[in-house]
Amino acid sequence: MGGMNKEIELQSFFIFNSAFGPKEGDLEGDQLKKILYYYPSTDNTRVQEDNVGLVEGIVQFTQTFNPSSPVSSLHTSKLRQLYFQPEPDFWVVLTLTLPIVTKVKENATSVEYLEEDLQDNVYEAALKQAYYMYRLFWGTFQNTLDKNDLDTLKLRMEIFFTAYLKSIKISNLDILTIFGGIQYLPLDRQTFLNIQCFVNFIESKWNYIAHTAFLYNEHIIWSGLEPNDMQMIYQYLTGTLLPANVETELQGGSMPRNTASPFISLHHGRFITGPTNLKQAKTIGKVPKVYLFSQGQVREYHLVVYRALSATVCFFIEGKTELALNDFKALDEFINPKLSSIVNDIAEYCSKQVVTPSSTPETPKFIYFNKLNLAYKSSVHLDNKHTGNVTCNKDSLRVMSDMKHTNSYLGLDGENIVKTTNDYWVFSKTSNLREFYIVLQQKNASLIGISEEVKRLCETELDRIFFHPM
Amino acid sequence: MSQDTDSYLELSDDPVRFEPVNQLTNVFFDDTNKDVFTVRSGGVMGVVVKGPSENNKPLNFRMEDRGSVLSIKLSLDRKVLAVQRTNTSIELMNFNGDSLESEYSISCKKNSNILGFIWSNLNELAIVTDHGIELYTVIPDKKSLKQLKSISVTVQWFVWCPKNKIAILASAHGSQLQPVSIKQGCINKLHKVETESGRMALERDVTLATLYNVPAVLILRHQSGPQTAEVHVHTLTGPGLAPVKAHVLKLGLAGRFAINVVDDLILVHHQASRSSQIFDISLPGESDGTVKYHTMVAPRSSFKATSISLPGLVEPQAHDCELYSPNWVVFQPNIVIDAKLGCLWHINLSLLQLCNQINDLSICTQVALKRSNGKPVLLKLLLKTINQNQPPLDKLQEAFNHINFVYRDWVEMELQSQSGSPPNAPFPKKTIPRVLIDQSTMYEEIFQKMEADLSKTERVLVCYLASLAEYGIPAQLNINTLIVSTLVRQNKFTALQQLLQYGVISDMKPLASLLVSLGNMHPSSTQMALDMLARLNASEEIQEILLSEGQILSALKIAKDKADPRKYLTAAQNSGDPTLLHSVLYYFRNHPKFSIVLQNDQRLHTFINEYNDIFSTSEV
Amino acid sequence: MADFDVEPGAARDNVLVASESFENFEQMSSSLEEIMSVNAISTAAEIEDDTTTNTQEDITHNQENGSEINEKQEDVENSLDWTNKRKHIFVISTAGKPIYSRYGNEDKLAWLFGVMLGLFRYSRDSIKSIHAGDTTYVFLSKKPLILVAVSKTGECVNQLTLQLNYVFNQIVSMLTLKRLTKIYDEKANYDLRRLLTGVDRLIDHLLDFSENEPAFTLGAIQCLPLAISERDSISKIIKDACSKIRNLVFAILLGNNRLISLVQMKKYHLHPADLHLIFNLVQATESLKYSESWTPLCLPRFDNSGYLYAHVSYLADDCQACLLLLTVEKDVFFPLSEAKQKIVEKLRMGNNLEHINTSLAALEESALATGFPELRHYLYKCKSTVQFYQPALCPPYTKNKVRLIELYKRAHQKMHCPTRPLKLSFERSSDEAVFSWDTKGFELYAVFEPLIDTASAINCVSKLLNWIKKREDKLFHLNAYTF
Repeated sequence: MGGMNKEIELQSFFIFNSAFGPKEGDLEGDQLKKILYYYPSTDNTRVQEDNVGLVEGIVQFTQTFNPSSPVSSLHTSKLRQLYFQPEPDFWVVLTLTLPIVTKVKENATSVEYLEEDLQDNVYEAALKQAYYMYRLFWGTFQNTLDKNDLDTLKLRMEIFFTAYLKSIKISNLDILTIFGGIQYLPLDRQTFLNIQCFVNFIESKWNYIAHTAFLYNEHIIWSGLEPNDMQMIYQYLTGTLLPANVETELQGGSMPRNTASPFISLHHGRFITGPTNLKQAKTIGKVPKVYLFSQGQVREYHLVVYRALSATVCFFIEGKTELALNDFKALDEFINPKLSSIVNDIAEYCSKQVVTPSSTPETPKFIYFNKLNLAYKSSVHLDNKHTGNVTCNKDSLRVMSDMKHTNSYLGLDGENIVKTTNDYWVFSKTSNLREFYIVLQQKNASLIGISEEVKRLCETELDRIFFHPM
Repeated sequence: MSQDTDSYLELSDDPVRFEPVNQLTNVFFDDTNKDVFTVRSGGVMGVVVKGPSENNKPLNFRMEDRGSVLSIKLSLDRKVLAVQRTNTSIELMNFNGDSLESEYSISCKKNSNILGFIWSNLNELAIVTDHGIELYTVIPDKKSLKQLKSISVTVQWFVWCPKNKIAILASAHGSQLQPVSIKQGCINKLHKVETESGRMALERDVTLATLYNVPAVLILRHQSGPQTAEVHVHTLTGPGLAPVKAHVLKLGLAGRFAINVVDDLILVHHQASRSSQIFDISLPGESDGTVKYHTMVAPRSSFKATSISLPGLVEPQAHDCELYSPNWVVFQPNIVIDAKLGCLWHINLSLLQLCNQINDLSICTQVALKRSNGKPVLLKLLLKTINQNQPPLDKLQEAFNHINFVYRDWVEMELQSQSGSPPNAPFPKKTIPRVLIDQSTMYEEIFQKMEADLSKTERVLVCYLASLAEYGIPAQLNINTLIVSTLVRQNKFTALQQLLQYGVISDMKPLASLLVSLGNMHPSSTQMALDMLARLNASEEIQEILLSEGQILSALKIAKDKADPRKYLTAAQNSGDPTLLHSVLYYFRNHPKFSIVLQNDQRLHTFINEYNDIFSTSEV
Repeated sequence: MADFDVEPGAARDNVLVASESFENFEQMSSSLEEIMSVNAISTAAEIEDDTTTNTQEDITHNQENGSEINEKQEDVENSLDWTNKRKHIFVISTAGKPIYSRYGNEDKLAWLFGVMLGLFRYSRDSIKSIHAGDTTYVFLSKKPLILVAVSKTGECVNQLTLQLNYVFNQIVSMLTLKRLTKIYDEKANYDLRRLLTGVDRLIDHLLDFSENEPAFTLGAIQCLPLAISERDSISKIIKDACSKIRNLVFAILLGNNRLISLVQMKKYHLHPADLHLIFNLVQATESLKYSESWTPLCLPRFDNSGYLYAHVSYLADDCQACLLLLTVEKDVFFPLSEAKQKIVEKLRMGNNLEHINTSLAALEESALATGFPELRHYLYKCKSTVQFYQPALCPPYTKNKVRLIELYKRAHQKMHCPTRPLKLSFERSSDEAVFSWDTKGFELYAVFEPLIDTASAINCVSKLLNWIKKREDKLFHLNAYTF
């Protein structure tokens, strides 16, 4: 196929609450009142009103047939619109343009909108994530209304979403976005236990530290939070906070060169939220507040992040606590030496791990996800930053999302192998509340051959868990 | 200096009482048999021999007056009495229990002086002279002695250790210390004690002791000037029992000292300060590679006050004994004698008090682990520490590590003895650790008794598990169960998941079933259970779970040929899902093995009928 | 896998127009004018108007059951029972006039039609579908109508659009598109129902039909199993009997939704979609059983601008096969009636009637009965001839046929996703294992026992293909006969 093609693009993103608008029937009333946030601001108010009006209509219409859940998406010939109602009366709406290919048949070009290449389940997830990320830092919309006022809410939305929308790489989202998963670091029992104890020491020493999370590079080793909360924190850390800091560290060269080096004397640790300089109180800086929701009710915490030698420790400190410089000093003094030796062990363990042989197109790629702790593994993605840096073609990834969607019909223990027209084999299986996907590129393989291969992979990759037999 | 109340040293409260020294009465102590001899006017007025403890009855006899007694000792079997009155000869008398008979004597080589004599063995008498040692065997019936052996070496004074049968012969004012061992009729020179050349030592500054089953020479070194005194510990651990200077005890004081050993702890009494210091050579200390330097384990402490009752005019009166009195003489290992008072005490150590004075839990644990009565004390201590509202987790972990270090060796030894190691291999009974705290003990004495604070319990348990892991000891079921339930009761399923994920909690069927039972509390627990069972290859249990979850076909897939058609058909029937019943029935129907069963087993026909009713079809 | 130089069921010359099931429905295969001019007769234009009237009578005089339903459904519109229907279908004119609602009375639903039209107009860019949990809302704009489906069946948008297309075609087949557009050009808010009395019954039936028959999804036709010689002789008899009659375009013989024989005018082919409408007409109209009837009929895929005229009659009281003779002539009822008599006689003499009867009486064998114990059911479609075969239904689906059909619909959708179609899919659930295979020549959808292992499934499939190959001349309509 020749001609010029276009990827999925963000057309608009808006949040409204009909309750703020004029009452039913009052058509004179100012419809704009309903709109709390609208992107792009370049759309004139007329357009904004129309768009909101349409959504209201759709919501109302769909409800008459009482569907199992509120309306989630609208398909038109050129656009896709996704809906999310996070709180009563609040609707968050995302509008995307379908990807385009222009085909040239006997020198007549025809534009084709690839409806199926924009997958609802992927972008619904993206939409929800946008809201949850906001909620992580500002709490619910309603919360702001109750504690502050409408203008504050609008302001916060403006600040947050305008930045957030710039940051998401719309066209690179895929099944991983649906999972919103967390990567755990494989580690030996002893080192893990040492980390556990380390965390316990701290939490018992500073009892206003309610929870702690421990990461190495972008992998979690210990999380005291419920997965749902950790999920967003993890997105924030790996997506925003850490990348920024890794830069500065690379210049410092934070990884211990040779594990034997007596580098304990050096001081590697520093707070990446909190004071930049432990000698000056004024550098305490703005420690972000986060709102966690898992334990039944909303809880407010300071998120203090300490980083040393590619290890990251997050402290969730009771929101009411007043943070003084001395607290940070004390923490630093306690953590830094212990952390160094722990990191040393981790680094040593990791270096011992056999690195999987450099993947050829033939080597099967897989994605694993556990619904219960949100753990995921992927040999398809070379990083977890949605850079579209993947080792298999995008169609197979889409096939996976299709499968994820249809798996709901296959029950608790469903399994599916398909062969695409470009001779990829894609396998999916749900079992014991886990999901496993494999892509194989083997032109002349038979279904039986592939099944065998898949079986082997499941046994090797999932040996330590219960996975329904093939 | 520490108060009496919490003093960890005390004198035995039933001292051996004897007639105090006076013009007429001499008192001798034989540190081989630990006998106290009171000799009235050279024995004419009688001799009383008292054993080390009040309750064995004293011996009484008389001797003829042959001048003043220099030394007097009963043979090991108490059948021969040896008395030295001159420095050239020893007189011997056979003793029948209450009277002496038939004297005979032995004199040493010409122009040499007797420094002393030793009952080195049953009927073996070693006479130490300034020219060496002459070893005789005594033949009471013939009233004669026969020389067995002799060595010649100049001796100025000597010290004898009856336990190890080793004597130190000092010459050149104690700058030359020559250990010799006197055993079964022979005398062996050992390597000299290495000391800075020309450094002299007085007899009273040299102590022979046994530390952790190793003979050791303790030499008190007084320093000139500002420096303070030290005790140099030479252990006979070198080749051929060669003494090795292994430890130096830093006393931090100067003046007169006396040394005792209690339960392998070295006590150094300081007269001037009327206090004692305590050292344990097994503790880590600064080391220069060969020698370890020790400071006292706990703050100095003096003896608990003690009193004896003396006959009064009307009634006996309590008399407070003077502690660290100049009349004190100490004998090994733990004997203190006040001749003026007529008392022999044994020194007792109160471990609990001692531990209370050691702030560092880790050191405390090491000390307690080495003591014969350490177990209850250590447990008490741990419990106390844990029950503080903010227990020092890092110290606790160190303590656990010391405990498990001992525990690990024990476990390994058990394994060896079970795995039938070479039959002739000496079963290491004697290496049973003095204090063994295994998981069951920890469970019953600590985890069961500690105050109910879930998050604390969790943290302490994790510490303990970490320590067990450190020493490669698999955790027992009850410990695993406890951590699981502790987490669950806090609703910390995420934590539980991670502990399982990283293999902290061992895989055991009972744990799996516990997890299953929690399925209603949190979905993850069923997942964890299944994973665990999968790791244990417990397909039976897995099937049961799947069945109970209504995943009948999955279960069937696992059961393969071992499935019980009746069970599965019943499950399918109860599910009320016709398709499921069909699937199960057809699976058996199409299965080479089961199809026959299906036909022959009458009881299964009810299912077939049921099926036919549902689908009103003639098939199957 | 089994390999064939030609896939089972392929034929030298095609009986039907091969087409992909989701293709654009506007395109037509042929034009009546062409036939007319070829045979030099009066234009189709004049035919329409005066026939329509008797069309109405024709169909109205047996509407009772149809209209009854509407009475019964008083006020269900706002009842829970109404909202929870598994699939709603609505038809509105672009002017917003209610035309059809599968359930409930359109007039009572006026407000709803209003909303739907509103949405449709409001959105800058034409709405295709809306998704809310278990419910899918599909919009299809077919000038001058708008069709809407609201479904909880789990069918995908394409499946539902297909059904809406059928509904539209059903309407067109009554009026012709030409007429339909004309009406609205003249009177934008015309109440079409006046012209469509009775059609809603056909639509109702069509929808049930599409929910119970895989034919629609596959876009193919199933034939009545007959020995090839038998089918040929029948076709021959029909051919001979009609050869003299001018402008006869199609002669179709069918029985319980199976095609028995199709004879057509040279160069002209019938599209399966049109044949489905014909099947639907026959199925839905009891009255045909009792009397010969003469009815104008537009076949949208053949030519949506004008009518064909159908002589419809069952062969005999003792043979429930239905014969349709379609011509462009509006006034040849009697010649066709005679022709029919001849055909019946010949068939009777040649014992063809018996054979037809026996085949009609005997259901297809189940896969189990034909020696595939682990194979529950399957669909085999020969692409070149757009014919398919399915065995008799057997447990567990005898309990719930719709489930099986929806299973097939999902499988079909999966294989034909426009941007990433699949060659093959093997899917296991705790209920069944579904094997789907799309090759150049054929499509196969096979439903197995859930615990079958892959190897034996593959094995079974190749055995099955051989089995079909052996019987292709019995199961499929291979030889085309023309006038």
